[in-house]
Amino acid sequence: MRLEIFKQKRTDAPRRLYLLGNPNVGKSTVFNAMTGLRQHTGNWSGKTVDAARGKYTYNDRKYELTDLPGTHSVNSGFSEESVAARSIALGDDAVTLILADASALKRGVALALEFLENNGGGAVLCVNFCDIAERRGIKINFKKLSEALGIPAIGITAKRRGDINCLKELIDKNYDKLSRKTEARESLSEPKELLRLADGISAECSDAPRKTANAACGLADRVLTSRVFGIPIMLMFFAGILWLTIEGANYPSELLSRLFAYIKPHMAAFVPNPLKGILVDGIYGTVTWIVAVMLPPMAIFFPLFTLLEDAGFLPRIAFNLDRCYARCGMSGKQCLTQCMGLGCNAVGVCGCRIMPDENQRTIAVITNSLIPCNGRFAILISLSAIFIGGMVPDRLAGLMPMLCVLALICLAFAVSWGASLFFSKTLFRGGESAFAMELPEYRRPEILKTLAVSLVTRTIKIVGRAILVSAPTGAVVWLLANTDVGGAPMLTRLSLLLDPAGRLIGVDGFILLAFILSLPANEITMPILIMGYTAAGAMADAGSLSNLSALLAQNGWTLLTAVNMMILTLFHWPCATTLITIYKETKSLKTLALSFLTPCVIGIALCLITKLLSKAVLLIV
Amino acid sequence: MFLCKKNGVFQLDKLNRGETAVIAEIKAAAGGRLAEMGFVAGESIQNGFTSPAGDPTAYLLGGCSLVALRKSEAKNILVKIIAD
Repeated sequence: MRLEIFKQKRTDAPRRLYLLGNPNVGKSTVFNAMTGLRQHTGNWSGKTVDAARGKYTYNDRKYELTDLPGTHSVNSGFSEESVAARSIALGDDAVTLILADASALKRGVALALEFLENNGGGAVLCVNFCDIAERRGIKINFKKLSEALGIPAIGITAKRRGDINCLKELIDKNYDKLSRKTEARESLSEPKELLRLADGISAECSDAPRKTANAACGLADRVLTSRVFGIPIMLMFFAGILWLTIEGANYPSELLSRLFAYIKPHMAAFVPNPLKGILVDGIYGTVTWIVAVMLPPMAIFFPLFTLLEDAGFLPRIAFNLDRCYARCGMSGKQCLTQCMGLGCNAVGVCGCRIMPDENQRTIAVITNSLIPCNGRFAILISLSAIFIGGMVPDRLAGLMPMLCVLALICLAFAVSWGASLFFSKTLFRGGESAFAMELPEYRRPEILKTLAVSLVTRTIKIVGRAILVSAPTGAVVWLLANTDVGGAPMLTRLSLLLDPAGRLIGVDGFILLAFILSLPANEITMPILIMGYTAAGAMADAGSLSNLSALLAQNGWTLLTAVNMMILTLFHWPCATTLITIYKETKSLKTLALSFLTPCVIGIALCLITKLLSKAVLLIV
Repeated sequence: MFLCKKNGVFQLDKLNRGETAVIAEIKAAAGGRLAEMGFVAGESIQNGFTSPAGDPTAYLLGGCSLVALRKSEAKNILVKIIAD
């Protein structure tokens, strides 16, 4: 009886599994398929920077699966890989799932051999992307492979549900046998020797057609990286996405703002009178503005961007632009961290872990917030739609805002190169000039799934965060706008205080105040600004774009104001989340201060330049 | 060592587009880092394509993985062309 209770307890504890593999073998996809979790997958080395954990149950047994970051080798000293090495050392009675790519079996076998030398056993070799390999005519004999390595081997296509079940079945059957390990070999083989051995095994176990190689250097790469077309094609892809975003966001945005305006009086009827102002005008106004104006462009841009990412496009961008980064004393990998920054600077700062060189990593962290994150992106899109779009003839109205945002993004990248160059020549000298980056194969993204997942997980999450921050800020700003101090609202007083400083750089006090108050999240800059302008504290009817345009014009906005507002949107201080992340990542107050000051200085300098330019133009005219 | 194509052993950055060679030796300074990526003596290597600016170049390593290397890094790898 006692023994049985003991046994019960034993089986209750989850069986531990580790997932190990070279970069780009689909680890995150397998992890997600097995655990049902939604870890964001990326097609480049270092996308998964920290070990992720997930659970699943199979045959009434609990399993705990730990996804280890992409690794090239088990015993190496790189920071990207040390998490992997550590976890492997900890996992005594665990089974490790070694993942390999069927089209590059040799490297997976080499990793398995290395693992087995270090640990003696306790592994399953799982070969992913069998569908792609089949299409290329590669046939793998898994029985032979299993015999050669002395561990179970299975071939799967992670997208197929049935395959994942087969894998779970295999693990379930063999777990007890596998988790008892034999001693590790004392002398480890040279990498050269291991690779030769792996070459032999994979050649024996797979039947590959002679010229698989050229598939990888296919037409796509020749065009995308060609001297003539490479960079124009990249820009065109980006412009296309921006155009779809701006055009596509217009209609739902208008619809949402009308809907919210329609609901507003009905809702106001339920709110007791003393609270009406703060709840309806303060909170409801701010939150609905964010949903109506921010949500549509985000919901279009980021799924599209994720598609490019999943297809393996981003590492090619890094490859094409590496020369620029080399000139700035940086590595092309910085480009990947900046692309992450386009989504969220806090994520981009975390992503800087993929930079192997310490100095370059610090520079990448400092310059990351020079790239507009999606919160600021939406401000740029709406500003250029109402201001730039309104200034050109109607048939160009769709095109101009797109070109404007594209130009601003190019500006952001150019400025970040300049800042990187400055830092690599002054404060953080001596970065490594070596550069080696894997270019993963193109993969056809699962379009519908990607769209759904990125819409649900990323967009909703980001907007959710924006709402959480904006609701209290909306209340605070409403209070500021409705507390009279000496005959004028507090908000107006504060902005009058800032006005001289604002005028100096070609904006006004309200704009500066909006940037200061939106430190918690960049998304709320515009709602705060609008609330400041409509001095009574309430927003103009739920922010339809045409109303906004009139409001800004009333408050003396000129082309210069709009341009400088966009420049400040690109370059001011990072948001609070990013600042906290920077400190957590670097534990350095110096880096934190530099990250705060760098964009400020750049933004103010650029605003002064545009102001002087506009004065010069006025004088000439 | 005198390095030129005629002599057989030369630096990887001299490998022309589309040409295939075999890695002969890796200079010690970069050995560890490159070995991690799969660059070891005896592995076949092909010049795949070059970035618009002329550097870096993507090499097809061992017929399966595509790795981008800057010229400065490619100089650390000595290769020789083996006649078919």
